[in-house]
Amino acid sequence: MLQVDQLTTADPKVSLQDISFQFDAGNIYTILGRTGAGKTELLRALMGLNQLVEGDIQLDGQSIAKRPVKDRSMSLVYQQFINYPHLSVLDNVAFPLRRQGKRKAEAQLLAAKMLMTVGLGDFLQRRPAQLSGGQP
Amino acid sequence: MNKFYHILKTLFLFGWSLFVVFPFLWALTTSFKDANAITSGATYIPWVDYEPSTQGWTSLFTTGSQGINIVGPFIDSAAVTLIASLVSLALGTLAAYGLSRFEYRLGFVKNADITFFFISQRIMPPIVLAIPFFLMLKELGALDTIFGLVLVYVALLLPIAVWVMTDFFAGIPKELDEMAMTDGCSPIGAFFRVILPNSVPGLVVAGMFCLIFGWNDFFFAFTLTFTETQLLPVSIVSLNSSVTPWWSLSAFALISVAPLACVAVIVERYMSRGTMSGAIR
Repeated sequence: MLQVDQLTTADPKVSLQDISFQFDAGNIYTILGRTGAGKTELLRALMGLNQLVEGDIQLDGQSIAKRPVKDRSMSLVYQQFINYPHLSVLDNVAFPLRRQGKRKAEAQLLAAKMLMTVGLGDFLQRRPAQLSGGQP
Repeated sequence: MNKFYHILKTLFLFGWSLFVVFPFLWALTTSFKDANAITSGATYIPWVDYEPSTQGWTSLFTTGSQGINIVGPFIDSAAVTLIASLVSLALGTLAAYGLSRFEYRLGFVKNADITFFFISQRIMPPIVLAIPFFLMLKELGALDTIFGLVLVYVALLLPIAVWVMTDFFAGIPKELDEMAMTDGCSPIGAFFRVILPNSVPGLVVAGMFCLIFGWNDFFFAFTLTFTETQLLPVSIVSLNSSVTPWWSLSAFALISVAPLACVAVIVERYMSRGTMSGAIR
């Protein structure tokens, strides 16, 4: 369960004021709003990419407002695909697994399986720049 | 019209290349001449125009009245330039990353002001810094030492590294850092694992600038050293052309240019690596 209480941010472009809501586990939620309303700002605040001025974020009853981004057990899929240009397709997918502490061989094996599942098995050693638009 | 433009462009580039290369060609041919060849007019082709001699080159490695001994100044110059460039590049890269990614504010001073503060160090005429540097090194007991020169050169080269790298990091999308942190990196981890490997062209350019400015500096090498430490630019200027033969001077000049030319050829291939192509699709 994700609970947000009186969340306020200080971004000079779009600042969120006193936002509170609760998302229950197992459900899919959609946030709707006009352009510039602060949807991305809210997601970034939840991730820890934007600093909170006030308020709290709780995940399964534990406050995560002051945790670093990497320790929040959350992920964010950007509107555009972000790749690491210096890594191969395989290492791009294995990157977060390696950061979780998995050994290189194990992380690459898991990444390779996932890439083969989505039909990218032939592109493991290519760089993101060498893929066509639909492939990343 | 296109053909005419192409011919004009080729002629201009050929002329310009000749203008740039000619001094080196002149120095190279002169370095292999002896007194007879030097005084017999402008000649360029060895064995045809003149009989080549290695006297100019051997004199560089000979001590005593017959030689110049370039080895000492060369090692001093290489040590000061390399150490100062590496330190400046390391500190400058970290400072530039901080300035491009985090917001600093102290009263009215913001990131742009701090960046300008770094660059302003290079706007001042060197003479303004000469006396303060002299007094500081005297207090530290570092006058006429490699350590003292390294300190001064770091102060001079750091702004260049900060300037180049700040501009380079500004071109790397912040989303890349954020993605790395989302994937489990700390901010420092994101810098070392993702941003730095993609910054090779910027590092090469900043490093080359540091090496060029450090290697070619004459003013501070002249004012802050006396007898114990002597860098190449000071050493070459101290040679008197009425005592030192022209062939030795030419060989000396070529050797003082050679390291930078070699570095430029070696690192050129890295300037195109690590582009952001494919980062955001």
